[in-house]
Amino acid sequence: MEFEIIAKCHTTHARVSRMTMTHGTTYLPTFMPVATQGAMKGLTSQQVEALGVTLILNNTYHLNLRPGTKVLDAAGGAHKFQGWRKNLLTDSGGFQMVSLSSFTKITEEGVLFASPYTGEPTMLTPEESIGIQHSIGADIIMQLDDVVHSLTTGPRVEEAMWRSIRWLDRCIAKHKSSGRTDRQNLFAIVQGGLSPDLRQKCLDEMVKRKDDLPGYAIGGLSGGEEKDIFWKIVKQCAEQLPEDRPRYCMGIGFAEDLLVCVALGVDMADCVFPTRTARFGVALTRDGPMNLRLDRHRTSFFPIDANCPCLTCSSGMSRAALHNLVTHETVAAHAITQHNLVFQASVMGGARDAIIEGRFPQYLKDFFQRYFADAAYPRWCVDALRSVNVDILEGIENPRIVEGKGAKWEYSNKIPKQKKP
Amino acid sequence: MSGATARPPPVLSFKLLSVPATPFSPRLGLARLIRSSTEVIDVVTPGLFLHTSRGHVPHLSVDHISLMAKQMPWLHASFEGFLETLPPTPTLQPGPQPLHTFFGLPAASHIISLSLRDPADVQERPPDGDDYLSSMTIRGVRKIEPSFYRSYVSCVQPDIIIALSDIPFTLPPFSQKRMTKSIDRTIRWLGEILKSRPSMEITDNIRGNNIFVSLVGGTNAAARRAFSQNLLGPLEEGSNLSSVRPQTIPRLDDHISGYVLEMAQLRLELSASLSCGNDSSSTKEPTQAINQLLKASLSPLPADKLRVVHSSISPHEMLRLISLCGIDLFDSYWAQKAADWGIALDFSFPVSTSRDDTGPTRRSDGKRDVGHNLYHTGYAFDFRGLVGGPMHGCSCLACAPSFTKPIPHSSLEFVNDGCEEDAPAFTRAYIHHLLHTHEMSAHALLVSHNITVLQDFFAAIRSTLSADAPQFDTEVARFETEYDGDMRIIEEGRRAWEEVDCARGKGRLARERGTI
Ligand SMILES: [Zn+2]
Ligand SMILES: [Zn+2]
Repeated sequence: MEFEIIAKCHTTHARVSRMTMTHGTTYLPTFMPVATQGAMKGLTSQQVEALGVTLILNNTYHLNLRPGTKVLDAAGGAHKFQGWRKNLLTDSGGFQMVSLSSFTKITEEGVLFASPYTGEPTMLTPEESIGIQHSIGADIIMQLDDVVHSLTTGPRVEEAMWRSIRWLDRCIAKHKSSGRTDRQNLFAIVQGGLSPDLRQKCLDEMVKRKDDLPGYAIGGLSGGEEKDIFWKIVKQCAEQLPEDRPRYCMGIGFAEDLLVCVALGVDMADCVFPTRTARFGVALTRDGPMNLRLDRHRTSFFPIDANCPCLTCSSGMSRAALHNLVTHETVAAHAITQHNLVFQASVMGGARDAIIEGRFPQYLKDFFQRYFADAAYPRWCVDALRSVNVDILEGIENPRIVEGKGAKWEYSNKIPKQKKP
Repeated sequence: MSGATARPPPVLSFKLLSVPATPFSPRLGLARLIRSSTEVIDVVTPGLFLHTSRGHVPHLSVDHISLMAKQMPWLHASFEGFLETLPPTPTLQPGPQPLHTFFGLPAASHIISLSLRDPADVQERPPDGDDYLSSMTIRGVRKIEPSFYRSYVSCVQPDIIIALSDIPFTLPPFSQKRMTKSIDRTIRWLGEILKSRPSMEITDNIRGNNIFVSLVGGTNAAARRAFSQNLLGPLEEGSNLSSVRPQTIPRLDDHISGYVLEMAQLRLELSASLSCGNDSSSTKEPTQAINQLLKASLSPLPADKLRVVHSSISPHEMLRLISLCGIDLFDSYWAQKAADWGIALDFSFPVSTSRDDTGPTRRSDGKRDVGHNLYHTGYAFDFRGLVGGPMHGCSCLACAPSFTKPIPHSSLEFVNDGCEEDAPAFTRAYIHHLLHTHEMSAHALLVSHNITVLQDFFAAIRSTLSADAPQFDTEVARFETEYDGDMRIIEEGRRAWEEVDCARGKGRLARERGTI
């Protein structure tokens, strides 16, 4: 991997960088859409590339179940299998095992889980996780970590943190012995729950292994923890991680979360949210999420966003037309998915330009002012951005502020949970 | 209602390009829609149009429809899906070409025909009345009067309007009396659509439009003939004679530009009457019975008008209808539906003589399938493209994908050359995987492929017809000998689809919940 910082924000910790791997260049900060099982929910790889996406995520747990490593090996890896020629990232599979398997037991050896097909106990070790990820062949692969829910407290959190470090060493050893370090880049995952102390210990250990690690992820967050704690942990991690390594915050997808994380020094994020919410008929816009199922869109004969370059908006497909299709035809999901991925990419692309041109603080202010115009500023966003010297309330008369999560979801009947891949 | 503007309705013409030996011989033709001097859309026949649901080809995004526009410019839509809320949403669409705009289809490149009901939908529904048609919506049954339909279509301005017809959707078989009623109503409703309405604004006069009529009469050849003869009769003025301008319309048929034959309903009635054995006209082979019935409908009518078939079920049937009834246009419904069931079509016309083992399975009775059931585990390691044999030329999204210039999202990407180039074909193994993991992309790729295969099939039919018309029947016979006309593969695919769908047990659902 070649990683080069192009520009830094003079106020916040945000930066713009160029990350070049076997399958091309991805400019950071970026959002990575999730193609769990090797397809982006109804779209073809060509369509995804046309949206301006250069880095997507596949889930190791799922691809290992289907099609399995034998098929992937025979196909020559997941890129060829799904016809994707840009960069690809895979997770370790650990998170899904813990969250999706009915039975999971973690031992020093690895994760013991119930096979979803046979129900039999199956062991996934750090070495096996890396082995599977070698078959998939993603440009970025993740270490197997000992996942605990972000709300877990007590000694289990510390145990998981230390075990994740030991497993990192096993992953590094396995990866180095494979001879694939030139094609696949192993990222470590910083753990330590919501404790700054444990996070610090984990950071110290993992940074020591920097020579074997082309990048770092911040894990164990976005599991329903207080946003106030979330941003402080992200900030702590981003500040401590090496300047010359990309930083990936796992499971982040709301526009406000993305921009706060970018301001705190995060380069990459992923989430199923934009594609999943599309299937529920929710389009993302700079004015907040828009639930196209609601009756008030029935006679809106204009696009989701007239200025949006996506194929849905530029074809003139109206909100009314989408309202009529949502929940009846998959075409609506495809159309909104395309729009949402372009929206995510444009929020991040806009951030890149703003950072390069030295106007990122203003970009943040403008974005938040518009996004929350008919709602209230989430307190945690205000605080997080103040911690990096941007006051998004500056010049706003009598700003409305809301405590707690403050995510804009009054539009939607269904509140999607954010999840780590 | 809004919608109607000064723009005159487009003109549809149909010209036979060959002189058929009999009124039912296979024929070549050209359907041309002239919107303006610069906007002309041609459809060569025998040809195809797309079946849509709520104005969209299921699984195919609008950008993909526009990629196919040159080959498949004609889409058929039904209005029923818009009747759940009144007034129907498309009637509120502002601007010119409301229906095109609403569907996101540029009028310069697409023809839209519109009927009230979906011709493929034969679910049982309450009977129609003398002055209304029962329409099914997700919010229950709606009674649609001919005048409503008239105002809807004059509002949304489709290029071609299919007149209302009273087809019984209660359980067949039907009595003679019911059949007579059906014919009378359809004729009367047609008259109401064609009549000029001095009481209405001029824009409600849709007589200048292109109107198709569905040829009714069920499985009774005499009834079908009677209906067609009625079309040649004068337009009967209704009971409100005094309010009608004293302008006479010589014949109903003079205002009709095409005849529609709805196979789904006919097939349903035919199987019902076959099982009852009470209809002498349909005791023969069903395929033969169908030909007879269609001929009964067409024989009284002028032979030079467009003949359109909805919901054909196989390439065999399409060939027969072209060869024996002189049908001009078909919807691609069965091929689109096959994509739902995981079938990738793979057949050639004329039947290829080259020996190869990449094509679909040959069954124990010697018949080859017309496609691959990609649910089958045998495809898990099959890294070939969808079509086997010598015809690697399929130009669909799966067989010939190509990259287009990506949307740039920051100034950095302008220097990054996004290159447009061809991509490798998607493999059977990949689509097999997508089907078993419930990924919608499988159906997007398959529907594009199946429509393209059907398109190529029709191009081959046309070139065979134009090169050597007598040879055509020989090729049809060879095709019937080679390929399984019972289409067993479709039913197998449908079952596999069901099984995989049911296998979405608890574990799988939990998994999906976590990831989708
Ligand atoms: Zn858009
Ligand atoms: Zn193809």
